[in-house]
Amino acid sequence: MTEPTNDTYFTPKLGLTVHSMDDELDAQVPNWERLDTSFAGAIWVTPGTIPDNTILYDGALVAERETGKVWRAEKNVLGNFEQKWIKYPWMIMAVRTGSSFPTGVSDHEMGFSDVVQYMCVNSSAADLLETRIVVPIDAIYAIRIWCQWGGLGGYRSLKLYTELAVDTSNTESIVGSWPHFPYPQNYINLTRKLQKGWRVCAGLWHNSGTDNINYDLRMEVAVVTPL
Amino acid sequence: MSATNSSRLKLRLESDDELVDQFATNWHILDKFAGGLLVAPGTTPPDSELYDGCLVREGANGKSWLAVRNPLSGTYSKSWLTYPWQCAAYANVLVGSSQPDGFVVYGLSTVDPLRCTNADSSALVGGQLIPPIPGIYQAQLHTRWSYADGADGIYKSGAISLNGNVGVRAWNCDIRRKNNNVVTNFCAQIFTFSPSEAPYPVGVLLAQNSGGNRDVDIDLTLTLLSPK
Repeated sequence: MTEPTNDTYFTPKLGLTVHSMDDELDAQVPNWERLDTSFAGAIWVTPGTIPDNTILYDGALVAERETGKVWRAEKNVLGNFEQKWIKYPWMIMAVRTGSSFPTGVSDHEMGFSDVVQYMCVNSSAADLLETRIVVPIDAIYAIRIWCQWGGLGGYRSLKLYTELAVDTSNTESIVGSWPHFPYPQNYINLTRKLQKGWRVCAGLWHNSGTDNINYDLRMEVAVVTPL
Repeated sequence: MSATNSSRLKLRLESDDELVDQFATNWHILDKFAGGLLVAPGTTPPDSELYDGCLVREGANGKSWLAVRNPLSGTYSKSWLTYPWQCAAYANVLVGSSQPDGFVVYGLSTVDPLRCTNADSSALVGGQLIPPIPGIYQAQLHTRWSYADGADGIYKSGAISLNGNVGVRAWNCDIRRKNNNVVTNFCAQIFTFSPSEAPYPVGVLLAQNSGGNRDVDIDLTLTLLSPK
């Protein structure tokens, strides 16, 4: 803040009006109003709305009604405000069942046909792109994938697919079905840093010897910590 | 001219020659609200102390919430911002023989305080864990069957139930076949329930088909990933 002069000026963060000398008292009414609007607590907005720059200040807390999402306004070097998410409740449960899946094809990328809407938070089938789940923000996510197969012979494999690559065998789930174990299931349960817009899905494989095999695939993805 | 008040914080707004009279009132209001209200854990300030969007921090437990004003009633509800919460419980139970997927709910008996955050034995009701608030949760179940069954066709099974719903076993069950050594199961589930629902119990489903009773150690951990 600069030294008061006879001119009116504004404080750099909240934009409070400052007058010099005898005009000081006159500044108070607009300042009180401004403090009331944006300084204390959170600024409520409708979902997806970014307040005008005249309302925001560096560090302002903005909360969306209904969605539970909360972000902090951070002023960049260009003077623009960026959203830094503090709370982003988001979860999706995607599913796919089938009875035909080629045997012996390694790392078969498998997307989803639908979501379980009552197990979704701030998400829907619109969050599937080309059957893959699209994550909404940069964040650390909790991921669970579960697949139950038909009870034929051979082995079953499950991996995580992300936008860039299939996961390595370090996180692969492999289960043997021989001799005719009727309930082979694969499990993956992990946390992973994902970037906004990345598509994620499952990578499946089996070598039962037939393409006619039943499978029931479920995947849940949830934001744990926004970045 | 009489004074008025600002809409949210109730700051005193004087006019003209009485402007100076505002300060004694308003500085105290700003002092109270700046950085959020600090309250003792579990304390909800009276409505007269809140405003729409007020940040309330509970000392020591890490919880914080925003006050949401109902425009019709003028009353306030909580929108949780942070809510660190985890609870783990365990038991040793005897499971009768049925089908490999003939799941039955079995009760947890003891809460492990070393693996609890903002939770205690009150979260264990009827052998199941009760989530405290609407949110996104992760449940993880570990089992360890002590009796080795080496014959073909014998299975040991575990699953997680939501709201006593045995049907959701099809989402997360883990069925292991015969083994000459101990058998373990691992199950996990990420789930939610809507704010209109009461928090429902999360429990353990077990099954085995050895032909006799089998005892098993079970351990369930429930973690709040994000408040809604």
